[in-house]
Amino acid sequence: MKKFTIALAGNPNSGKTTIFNNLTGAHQHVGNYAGVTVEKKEGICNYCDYELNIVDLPGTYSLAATSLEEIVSRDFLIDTKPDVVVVVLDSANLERNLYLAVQLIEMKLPLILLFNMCDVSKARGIEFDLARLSKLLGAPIVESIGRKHMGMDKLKKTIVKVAEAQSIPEVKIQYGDDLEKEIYNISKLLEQYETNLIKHYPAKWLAMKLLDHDLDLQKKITSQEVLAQLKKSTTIIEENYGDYPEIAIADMRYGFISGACQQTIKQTIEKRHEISDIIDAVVTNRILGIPIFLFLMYLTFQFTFTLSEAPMGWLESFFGWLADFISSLWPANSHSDLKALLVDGVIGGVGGVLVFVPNIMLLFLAISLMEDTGYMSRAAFIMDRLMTKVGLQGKSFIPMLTGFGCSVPAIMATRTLENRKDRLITMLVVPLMSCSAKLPIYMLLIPAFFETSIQPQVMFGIYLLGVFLAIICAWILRFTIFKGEITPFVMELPIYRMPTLRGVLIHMLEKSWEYVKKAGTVILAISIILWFLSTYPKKTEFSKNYDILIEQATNIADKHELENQKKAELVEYTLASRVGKLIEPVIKPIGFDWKIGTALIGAFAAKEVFVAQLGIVYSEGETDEDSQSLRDILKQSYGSLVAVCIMVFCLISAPCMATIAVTIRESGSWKWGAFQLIGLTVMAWIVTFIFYNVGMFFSWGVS
Amino acid sequence: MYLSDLTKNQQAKVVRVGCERALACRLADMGLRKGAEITVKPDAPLGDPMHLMVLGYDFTLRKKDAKHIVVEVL
Repeated sequence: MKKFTIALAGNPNSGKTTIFNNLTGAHQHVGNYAGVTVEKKEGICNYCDYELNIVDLPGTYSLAATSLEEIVSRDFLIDTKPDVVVVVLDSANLERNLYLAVQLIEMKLPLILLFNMCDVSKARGIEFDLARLSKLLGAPIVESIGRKHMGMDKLKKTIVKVAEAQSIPEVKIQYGDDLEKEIYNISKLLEQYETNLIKHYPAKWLAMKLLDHDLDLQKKITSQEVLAQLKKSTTIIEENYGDYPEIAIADMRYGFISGACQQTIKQTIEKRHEISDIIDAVVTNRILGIPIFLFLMYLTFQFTFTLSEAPMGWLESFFGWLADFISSLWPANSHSDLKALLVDGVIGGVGGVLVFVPNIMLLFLAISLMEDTGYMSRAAFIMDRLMTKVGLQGKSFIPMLTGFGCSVPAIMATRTLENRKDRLITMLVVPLMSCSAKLPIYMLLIPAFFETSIQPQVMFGIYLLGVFLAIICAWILRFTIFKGEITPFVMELPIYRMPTLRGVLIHMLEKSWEYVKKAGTVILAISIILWFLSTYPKKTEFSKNYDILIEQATNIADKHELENQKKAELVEYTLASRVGKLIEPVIKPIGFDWKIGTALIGAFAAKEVFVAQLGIVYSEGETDEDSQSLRDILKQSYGSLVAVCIMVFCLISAPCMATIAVTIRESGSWKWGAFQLIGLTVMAWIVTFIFYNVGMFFSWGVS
Repeated sequence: MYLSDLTKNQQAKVVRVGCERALACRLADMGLRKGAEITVKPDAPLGDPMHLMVLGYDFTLRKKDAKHIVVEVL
């Protein structure tokens, strides 16, 4: 079996992901490019006697090296030298899509042009003279409709043909006499002084890219002669052309494209109102735009929370059954540490987290629906004005919304922000968007302390508080640490599309899987550690001889009372309680006791552990945990003010370890991770302090 | 006339892109360069950014940045 490496390149919104899914099916692997955090998707496609390893490059408009994605794509193409590069093009938007293809022609790689979405271009009355266009662009053209699986066989066949022949585009982009001359001058010097570099990069291409203001490649040049010539050439072009050299080069590329298109593309019907324009006229309407946006956000939450109720109930019963089943493996009423570890530690901890999988799946389903239809970029468009007021920008909106699901993918989604300041601000405030892992805490406390009629309002209030604080923090950061202009907002508004079931499902499953993986690894480990902390050391000498007293007790009430006292002594003796007590002086002013403190230590590692930990702390202090749920115990112990304070503190305080880790990775410095951790925790304490003291002053919910 | 002065349904040809270097380069990559034809669509509900069409596709640009693009109304 022969193996080939195929790179898939293309603009965002060109349907590249659909083509990738079509080719690789379920055989996908998501990783990272070496050393950077850009996602690398790979998959295998078997065709006849060939094994095609398909690499999905990040979607970019250019290879200008202005973003990490562009640098990664360019380096991959140069370092790996894929056997074939398939450029996925939106054939209804050909000119701009060909701009990337031209840059690949410049790189002299074996190329296939995939004219995707040809149903859309046909509907628009665009007719191509494919044979001629293919000749002018120097590469075979295959037509496809990704969402209908059309053209895939032809594509695979062409891939194999091009890979075997290693045919590279034999066309030359004409940059004009001035540019050609300067490219020549620079390349001569490169051949002379940068012998190592040109083993890697072709000299003429490198010279052109240096003029194209590729700062990443410029940094690699050590020879002063080359740099001096580059400066000289740049001045000459600027004088002759009246613009920066990279603009001159862009003009030449577009000149080449429109030359090729003019001869081969016919528009048979005049452009008329398209469905997309009609939808836009409604959803971005001056009056209706914002109400529709708010309604859709509301709908997203309703949809997520209402539909997830039933499956969450099933999961709960399943884990309950599992706990009972494991307990039944031991003789009744026996005390075994292993049983306790499995039932209370593992199932209690991991099960308590996995119960929220339906919720997360539905939230990501809603988010992928908005992304795949094209509404997400409209939301950024609508929100930009408001977001700029607080020092963010429209594109920050998407990570912020994802933050309601999980901070980890949300912080990863900040990669779409090209400017570092914008990106860091967004990254730092994302954890204030109440993630779904904090939801178990609210779901536990709200029904316990509030009447059914006001439960949704309390929940909404917590979320709103998070959004409000995120705005304030972003505003403060923008005018202190990250002073400076907000970057330009150049964003494509793709046409509206009907999402495909497959595309949405793959997107949703990928994100949910990240959450499950976290539950299976980090949270499992933490649950076990916390169980140990809250079980050991075991107290052997008690203040009274409980065993004898319990046996002697005459009525059941006394018996229970004594058992409770014994368990309370046991719990107080453990490490977790000792740490909880150690931090009690710090958390006392915000209304927390050592039991909440113990649970907060768990939450520090991962938010969802709070509930499990509270359960462990309390179930041991109570005799009859089967008949009395955690909620009742809490209600007996605290007033609703403390419940609110817990929620507020958990909302704001240090995000989970995974979030901090991602912030460190994505910001490239542990300092930002530490800043986020400390800043948010201090703020949580202050805000909770205010809540608690105001509440105490007016005696709200103190009982 | 500047791009930021145009209102919905107006069409114009770009005369000069006077934005700072990085933005000018990015706009050129996206097809908004000297000689390109632009159609203006209605602004975002809050009055900014602008909704523009170049080369047959739609994209956004803030008025603050459109202020530096000289156009000629068609």
